[in-house]
Order: sequence, then C-alpha cells, then structure tokens
Amino acid sequence: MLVTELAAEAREVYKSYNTEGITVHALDSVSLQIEQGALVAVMGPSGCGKTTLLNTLSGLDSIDGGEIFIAGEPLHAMRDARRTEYRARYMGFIFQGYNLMPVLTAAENVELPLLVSGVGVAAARKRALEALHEVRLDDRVGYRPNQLSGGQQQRVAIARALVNEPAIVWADEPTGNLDSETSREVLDLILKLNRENGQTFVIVTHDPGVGSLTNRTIQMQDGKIVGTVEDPEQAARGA
Amino acid sequence: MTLAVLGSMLRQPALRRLGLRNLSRRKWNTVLVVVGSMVGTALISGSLVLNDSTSLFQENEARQTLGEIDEVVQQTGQRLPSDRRPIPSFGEPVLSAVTPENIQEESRDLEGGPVEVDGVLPALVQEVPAEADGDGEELATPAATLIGVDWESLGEFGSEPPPVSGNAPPGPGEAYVSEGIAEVLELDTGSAVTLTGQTGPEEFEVAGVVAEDGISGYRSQFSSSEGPVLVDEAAARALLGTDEGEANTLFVSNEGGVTEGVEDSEEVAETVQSILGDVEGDGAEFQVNQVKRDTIEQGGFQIGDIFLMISSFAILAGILLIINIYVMLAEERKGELGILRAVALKRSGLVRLFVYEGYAYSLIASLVGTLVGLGIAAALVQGLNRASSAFEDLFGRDLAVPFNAEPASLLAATSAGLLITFLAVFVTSLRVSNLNIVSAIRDLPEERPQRRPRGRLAAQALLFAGGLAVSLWGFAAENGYAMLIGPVLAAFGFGFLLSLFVPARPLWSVVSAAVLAYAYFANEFEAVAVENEESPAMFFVSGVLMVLAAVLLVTFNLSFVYGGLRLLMRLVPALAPILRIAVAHPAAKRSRTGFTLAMFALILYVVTVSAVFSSTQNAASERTRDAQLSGYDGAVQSGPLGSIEDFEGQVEENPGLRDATEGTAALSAGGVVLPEYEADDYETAFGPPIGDAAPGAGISEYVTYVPDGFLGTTTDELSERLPEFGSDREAWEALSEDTDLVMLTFPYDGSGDFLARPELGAGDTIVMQDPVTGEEAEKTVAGRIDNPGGFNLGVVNGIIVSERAEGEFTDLQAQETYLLELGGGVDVEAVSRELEDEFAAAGAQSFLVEDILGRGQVFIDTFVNIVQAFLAFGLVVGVAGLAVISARSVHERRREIGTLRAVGFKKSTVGWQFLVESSLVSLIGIVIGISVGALGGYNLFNFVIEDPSAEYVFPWIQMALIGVGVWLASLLATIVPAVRASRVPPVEALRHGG
Ligand SMILES: Nc1ncnc2c1ncn2[C@@H]1O[C@H](COP(=O)(O)OP(=O)(O)OP(=O)(O)O)[C@@H](O)[C@H]1O
Ligand SMILES: [Mg+2]
Repeated sequence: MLVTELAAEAREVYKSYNTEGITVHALDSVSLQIEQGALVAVMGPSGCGKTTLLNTLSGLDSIDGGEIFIAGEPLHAMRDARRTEYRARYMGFIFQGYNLMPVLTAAENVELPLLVSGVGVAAARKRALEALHEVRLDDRVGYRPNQLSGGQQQRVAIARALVNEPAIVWADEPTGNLDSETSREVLDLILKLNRENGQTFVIVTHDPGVGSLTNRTIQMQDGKIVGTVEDPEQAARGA
Repeated sequence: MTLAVLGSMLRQPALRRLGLRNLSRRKWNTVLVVVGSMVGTALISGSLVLNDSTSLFQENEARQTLGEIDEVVQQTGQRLPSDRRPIPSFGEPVLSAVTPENIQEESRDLEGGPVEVDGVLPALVQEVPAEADGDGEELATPAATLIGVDWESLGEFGSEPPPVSGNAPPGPGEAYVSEGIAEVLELDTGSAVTLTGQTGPEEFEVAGVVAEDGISGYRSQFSSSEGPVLVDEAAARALLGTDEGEANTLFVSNEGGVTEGVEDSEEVAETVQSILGDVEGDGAEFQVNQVKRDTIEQGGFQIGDIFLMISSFAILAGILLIINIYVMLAEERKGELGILRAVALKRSGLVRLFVYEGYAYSLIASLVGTLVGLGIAAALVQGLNRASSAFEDLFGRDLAVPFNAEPASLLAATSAGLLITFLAVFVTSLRVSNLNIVSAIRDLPEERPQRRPRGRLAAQALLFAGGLAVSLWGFAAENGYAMLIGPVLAAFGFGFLLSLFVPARPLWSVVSAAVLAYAYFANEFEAVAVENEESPAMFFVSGVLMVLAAVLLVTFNLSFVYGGLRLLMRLVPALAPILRIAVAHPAAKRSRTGFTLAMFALILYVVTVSAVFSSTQNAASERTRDAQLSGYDGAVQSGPLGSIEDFEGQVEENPGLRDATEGTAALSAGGVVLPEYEADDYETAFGPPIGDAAPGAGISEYVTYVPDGFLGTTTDELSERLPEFGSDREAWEALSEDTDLVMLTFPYDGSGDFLARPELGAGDTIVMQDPVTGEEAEKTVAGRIDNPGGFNLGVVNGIIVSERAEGEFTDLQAQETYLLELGGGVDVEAVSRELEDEFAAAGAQSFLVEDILGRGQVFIDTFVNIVQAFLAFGLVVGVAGLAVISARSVHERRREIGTLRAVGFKKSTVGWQFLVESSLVSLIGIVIGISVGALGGYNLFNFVIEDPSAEYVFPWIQMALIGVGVWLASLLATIVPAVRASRVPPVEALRHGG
C-alpha cells in the first residue's frame, strides 16, 4: 500500500492565526508527502510558515482544515491524549533551543519519551545509553544541560528524538543557535542517522548548506509550498 | 525608611514608572504577592491587638474591683484560696500610725524621694453568707463581701472617690448591694437581705443597687464572692462583733488615678510595712498586699505575648515566603532585567527598580495585613470569652475580655510589617541584581564563580571568629542566648571555611546535624534552661535553630529521601515519568526547596509543640484528679463564721445527697506559725504568701486535724516515712494512735506548688505555735505526702495531725472542711447543685473535684484550641505560599512543559507531576516540622512540668490528622496551578526565552 510507505502526509492543510482582527494565513492549502527514510529540508523566507508547518504536521498545534496522516494514521482526527501518545511513539523533535530539561541529566532527558511510553526504568536507561553512544556522548551521560556545550546539548536532543525509534523526526532550525563548525557536526550526525538507520527527518532551515545535503528541499512562501527541489544526486547517494 | 524610598522615587521618575508598572500590569500576580507578604503583618497586628484587649481587660478589672485602692493592709497569714477564716481586726495604734502624712514622712529617705498617698481608709471587710426571699423561694449565696466604712471618709478616698460614695450614707438598717449580689438574690431597692455575721443574722433594707466600680466591686484575692454589700461602719461592727474603734482592713490609695498610682506601689507597701513594724505589739504580722499591681501586671496572663511568641514562627515562615516570591519574580524577569542592565542601567538602578516595586507591595501588604490581624484578634477575643465563661459562675462575675485596638498598636504592626517585608525585599533585590548580564539576557543559568571573592571569605572567617567569641563570652558570663547561638554561628562559619576543601553534602550534613543536636541538648546547660523558663524568646530561638538545622540536613540529603521513590518508579512504570520530573525539580533548586520546607516545618513545629503541651497537660490532670482530696470526691467548707451544725445529718436528710454519698470525713484546719523558721525563707508560686511577709515573721503554716475515718481510707501516697512503718497505710494509721506524730504535705521545691515549708524529713521534730495565744506543741514528722503534681485543690494541707490532738491550742481559729466520697455513676452537676442549695445559706462553699477539673480542662482545651486556630492561620502561610510558588513555577516553566508535551507527556501526566512535586515538598516539610516538634515538645515538657512522674504524651492521632489535613490542603492549593500547567500547549516548547 502506498499510504503506509509514507512517513507523513498532508492534504490541503489550512492554518490561520487571528490576532487583533488581522488574520494571517500561516498555511494555505498545503499538501505534501514524505516517504519513509527521506531527508527533507523546508526552506523559505522568515514568516512564511515553516515552523507552523512543522507544528501542525507533528500535531503540536491544531489545524483549521485538511488532513494529516502519520505512518498512515489520521492525526487530525485524534483527541489530544491519543495524539500525545502517538507523538511519544512515532515522532521525535529537535528544537532550535535544544529544549532539554535543565534539572535532568543527559541520560534522564533521553529517557523521557521512553518512560512516558511505558518502558520500564531499567530498559529505558539501557536504550538511552545506546542513543547517547550513537551521538558520541558516552562520557557526558550524567551531565546536566548547563554543563554541556550548545553542540553537545543538541546532540542530547537528537538522542532524545531518536531513542524511541520514531517514524519521523521533526527538526526546527536545529543548527540555528550553533556556530558553523558545530552545525556541521550536528548535520553530519543527522545525515549519518538518515543514511545508516534509514531515519526519516524533516528539517526546517535557513541554511542553504543544509538544503544541499538533503534529498529534497521544499520551498515555502506566504504559507504555500511554492516548489520542491529533488536532488537526485543526493538521493542516489542516500540510497 | 518610607521617606527614603519616596524621596528616591521622586528623584528617579523613569525607574519609578518602570518599577510600579509591573504592579498594574499583572494584577493577579500583585494579588498573590500581596497575600503572601501580608501574613506576617497580620500575625503581628493580631498579637498586638490581643495584648491591647487583655490589658484593657485588666485595667477594667482594676477599675471595677479596686478603683482607687492600690494596697490592702490586713493582719493575716492566710495564703490559700480555701482559707476562709475571719480576718483579725486591729485598733487605734495601727490606725493612727498609717496616715498619708506618716507615709510621706517615713518614705523621705527612699531613693526615688518620698511617696505620696492620697487616702487611707479603715474598713471592716468579711465574707458573709447572704439570704433573701425571692418569689416564695429562698435565695442564698455563701459569700457576699461585707464592707463597713465611714461614709464620709469614703467620699474623701483618693483623687476620684468611688461613685458609690455619692449616694446618701446608708442608715443603721440599710445596705447598698452590688449588681452581682442583686442579681443572684433578686434584690431591688427596698427589698430585704439577711446577712449572717459572728453575732448572728441581721436583716438589711436595700438602699440601692450600685454598679461594680471601685470599692463597690471589691473582692479579696481568690474570693468567690458574688460581690460587695456596703454598710455603715457601725452596722458592720455590730454584725461582726468588733469593738468600737477597730478595723480589720486598711485600703490605701496612692497618689494618681486608677492606673498611674500603681507605679509607686512597691515603695508605698515597703513604707507602710516599716511603719507597721514600728507599731508596738503585733505589727509584725501585718501584710501589705499590692492588689492593684497584681491585678494589672499579673492578674491576667499576657496572652498576647504568648501569641506573639507562637506567631513568631509563622512570621518567620512568612518572611521565607516573601523571599521565595521575590527571588522567583526576579528570576522570571531576568531577561528583562539583563536587557535593562545592558542598556546601561547601573546595578544600583536595578536595585532601585526592585525596591520601588517591592516597596509598593510591602506597603499594600502591611496595610491589608494590619486589618486582617484586627479580624484575627477579634475572633480570638471571642474564643477567649467562650473559654473563660466556664469559670464565670465560679468567680461570680463577668470575665469577658473587651475587644480593644490601640491606634499605636496598629501603627506598630503596620510599620513592623512594612519593615520586615521591605527588608526581605531589599536583601533579595541586592542578591538578584548581582546577576551576570550576558547569562541574564540569554537566560542561561548563572555561572558559579570558581574562586570566591575575598570579601566573602573574610565575612565567613569573621562569622567563625565571631561565633567563637560569642560562645566564649556566653560560657564565661553564663548568658543562655550567647551559649546557644555562639557555637551555632561558629559551626556555620567553620562550615563555610571548610567548604573550600570538603564537598558540600557531607560537610553541611554534618554541620546541620551537629547544630540540630546542639540546639536540642543545649537545655542541659543551666543558663540556657533558665532562659528557657523565663522568656518565650528562648523557646523561639532554640525552636528555629532546630527546625532550620533539620531542614538543611534534609535539603542536602534529598537524594536519600527520594531514594524510596526511585524504588517506586521501578515497581510502577506508569509513575516513572511523573516522579522523575517531580523529584528532579526540588532536588535541583535546593535553596527554593529549602525555603519551602522551612516554611512548612516552622509552622508545623509550633503546632506540634502546642499539641504535645496540651496532651501532656491532659495526661497530668488525669493523674492529679485521682490525687485530689486524698481520694475523696468533693468537699464542703464552712464559711468564716460558725460551723455547719451537723454535716452528716444534713446529708442524710437530703435524698439527693444521701443516695450519691458513700462516705464523709470532717477535717478542721487552723493557722499556726513555725517559730523556728523565718517567713522570708520562701516564696510561693503566687509570689510571697499574700503580700510581703513582715521582716522577722515566722512561717505561717496550716495544721489540719483529721478523723480516724480519713486516716483509715486516705489514698495519699508518701514520698518518705519513718522506717518503723512497713507501708504508707501503717504510717497513716499510726497517726490515729499517736498524737505526737504528724504527716507533712509535700514540700515546696522552690518553683512549683504553693504549699510551702522548709525541708523537713521523717524523724525530724517540728514546733508549732498558735499566733494568738503563743501556745506551742512539738511533733515528730512521721512522713511526707508525695507531690501529686500539677493542680492541687489545697484542702488537705499543711501539717496533718489526728483529731485526737484537737484542742492542744485552746483558742485556734479553725475552719471545717467536710470531705465526700461519691458513689459511681453519680451526676456530678446535680450533686453540685444539691450541695450548693443545702449548705450555701450557712456560708459554706462546696465543690466536686470532677466539676472543677472539668472546668479547668475546658479552659485548657479551649485555650489550646484558640492557639491552634491562630496557628491555622499560620498554616495558611504555608499552604497559600505553596500555591503562590507553584503558580509562579508553572509560569516559569511554560517552555519546559511545552517540551514535555512535545515528547509525549499527556496533559494529565503534566498535571500530576506538578501536584506530586508540590505535595512531596509540603509532605517532607510537614514531617520535618512534626518530628522536630516532638523533640521541642519533649524539651518543653522537661522544663514546664515539674512532676517527676509526669509522662510525655505524644498525640499521635491528632498530629497524624493535622499532618494529613495540612497535606491535603496543600494538595488542594496546588490543584489550580497543576491544572494550569496541564493546559500549557505543546507549541509553547518553541517559544524562545521562556
Ligand atoms: N502564535 C501565533 N499567533 C499569531 N500569528 C502567528 C503565530 N505563530 C505564527 N504566526 C504568524 O504566522 C506566520 C508564519 O509563522 P512561522 O513561525 O511559521 O514562520 P517561519 O517561517 O517559521 O519564520 P522564521 O523563519 O522566522 O522562523 C507569520 O506571519 C507569523 O507572524
Ligand atoms: Mg520558524
């Protein structure tokens, strides 16, 4: 079945914000399909609706119209509790501001999605350590976020996003707060995970360098998708 | 201070606007902060107003029952409330010696110059039974205070002569009765009242019912009289059989009005005493009683002080709350503040900004708090009045405390509240303004400076050295406070210094455990124990030290405390995410957690101590109940005149009494002197026995003659007895055979009971002397009664001798007491009424142990209830504080919550997590407070309750209920913030700069 091969699909999604009488159409009939194992970049000028797209597709935010399917399930039709559960099981998030719990250690941060999905404490710890190993942070397991550098924090966040082996990982400007060298490291890590584990990523970015690494780039403007650039060369390399 | 802030505000209009803007911008926030800050002020104002009310009560008492009377001079050795023998009279030599002129003359050489007295009024005073015909029913009271004075002298007594003197002088058969008497006997102008004196009954016509005001409200100390009956001097003389020119009482009025005169009281008493010492003959047996001073200064306990001490804990908790709130406010605005600093606002400007805002909060809070305190005090006064109504008929008058708030107290409360709140804000502002600009703007956690600034190091060294110095001085000078606080300061100083080399957790665990132990055991030092007994402040200091040390200990060892939870996480996977976060936050924010814990612990500490106090007291009074009246259940005491003709016969004839009674015993007690001992050797718990003893006077003591029936049944245990007696029983029965043997009631140990006697043991001889005739009798002490501890009705007291020895003093003024043994299941109140009806007309007073202790218990219970109600308000500090703090932390953690939601936390999980987090902290605080309170209560028990056989009773059930109740309340208080937390949408995760 075609549908199940898609990690995510949006059909004519609408989203508008209404502030003080002014309506902003942040998403205007957006449709899109993301295949399993894809590495997709979303680009466009500031305020064009990239973050909104990510938030709605991932179910963090509600939509005004349209349909969203994640791993074949209709996200738009789910109640909040179910959607949250679904998020814990099938999605991972990487934020620009890392968004780690400052009071928890790296390992404890990574464990969180597992614990909420009902994985036992011991098993969760084991998988968290594996994920941290994956992002090469074995030696920072017991550190708190404020004891880590920005790049390290983002790697912890990546480990957290991956630990439950999600169908799709959403990343909103994951390198926005990082210098170019650290950005590079983080992107390499994402690329590696995409290639070696077939992990699906959707990355919002302003960085054209990022766009060049992905196998598809979605261009947005004024809440609409105005173009999709497939990079066969990258796709070929990724395959 | 206010001026300084306002002045500064005027000079800095921009900062002022910025600072004050926050107030109106976030109204809900302002309300929370004001509520949190107001609690301390409310407690201060409540305590002060309560003090105002009780002092007004005492002043009213003084005005009503004494008026211009400052001292009372009488010739008596009576010192027990139960002693109702007639007061001996005196004649011309005394009357002409004690005059205002002589007093001025005699006091010329006193340090403060001569004292002025504006009235000396000779009078005949005695409690007599009074009867009247109600509507066909005989009405009687065992005690009306008969006062006979020369009406003309009465009109000239003091600067404000008593209002009753404005009435026409009473004629030969006329009397003015006080409202109290009039009410009991249903008297009106023109009705007849019969008074019975030494010469027999006599009927008087009521010339008027007068308000109780000054002499027309006079009662002697401990009296249960219904009120005075005023008659002409001659009429009183005739009734009491006194000779012409004699009086038994001198009322002295110091210069100055009702309350001012009291200042010279001591000097006047001393002077009068020395004048009397010079009077030939029996001048040495006079006592000058400083009644006014006693009424105003000691008459009522300074209940407001107790409340102030108790509330200090809650006030401190309030201060912690304020600090917590302001730190949170500051942290929350860190970004904003950092930007302000970045745009070149100096640090001092930042402090000002905070100070302006804080000042506005403090001002509103202290005003609101004062009003709330007024309300608390009004409620407490009501509660007190309900408690004291249990005694109203026992004392025969209204004991209602008026509600009174002095403007000065309100002002003091407002300014104290403002000062405390503002200081807390100021110190907090200084601290938060110390922030690093970059990390503030980027909302990064503050970096810890690696090296500590030299200034701080010096301060810590100074703390250590200062602490050492204070302890050294304290131990040298035996100053309890310094002995307690010095070592604690030194320990903290030492801890700070060591923290350079030693990791924080083990270091502070050891320091705080040591401080806790020291504060607990410091009582072993004499000087500390003495302070503890004398001032409530010490109780506060040691309590606070113990609580804070315990909180510190727990804060540094939260991981152990939470260890059990980790196990729970393993067992119940569903709880794991909730517990993980709920535990991590308090553990990470150690100082905030510590403050919150301390807030709860401090209040629960006093709650626990007061509960322990009442439970221990209850247990003690249970035990003393059995020790009262030597195992009998009640007593009837004859009045000052004449004896009850045939007690047993009267009981037999009254069916109600006959059925209830199982046995009786008649005792006869009189006053003797122990010539071998000097009176100023001892004091009683009420001070020296009624007024200062004259120099050189022998000790006054009671001798009680008891029948074989009593000796054969008494249950009084002996603390020692002659070796030849194999048991207490044998020793008691030996008294029946040998009239040379006596039993002494338990000894006075210098601090507790009012039965006083120098230390005499079994086998010693003791000489008794009749103060009137000078006859002597020598006795051998057979043993001593064990101290029953606690309350004592004092009917069986002094030196106990068999009734066979009665008559060894031919002229002894004796008073009869009849003891009653009641059957089981008797209706105490009915018997009490029956006794009253049967014997009141003869001037006899009767009471049942059950009844009196019951009232006492009602009083203690009500008092403790009021204290706890007061503290309940303190608990509001904790609970409301927790609500404020969790509301603020929801706000503070929106972004984190959003992230949790994004990674898959359900709404309910987030809500539960908040609930669990807050209630865990409150639970730990509650447990600390109750545990340390159990220790503090044990300390209190050790020095308040002297009875060695007393038991420490910890009210498990009550404390468990209180603990759970407070915990549930704190749970409820955090429900709203928890719900708000659960509503934070996941998109909040993306918000920058949280
Ligand atoms: N919560 C909101 N309320 C009102 N309007 C919003 C809200 N969030 C986004 N918008 C508006 O929706 C539009 C799209 O915003 P969005 O955050 O998706 O842009 P973006 O492409 O991510 O921009 P950037 O690259 O700057 O992050 C913008 O015009 C923005 O003003
Ligand atoms: Mg964006």
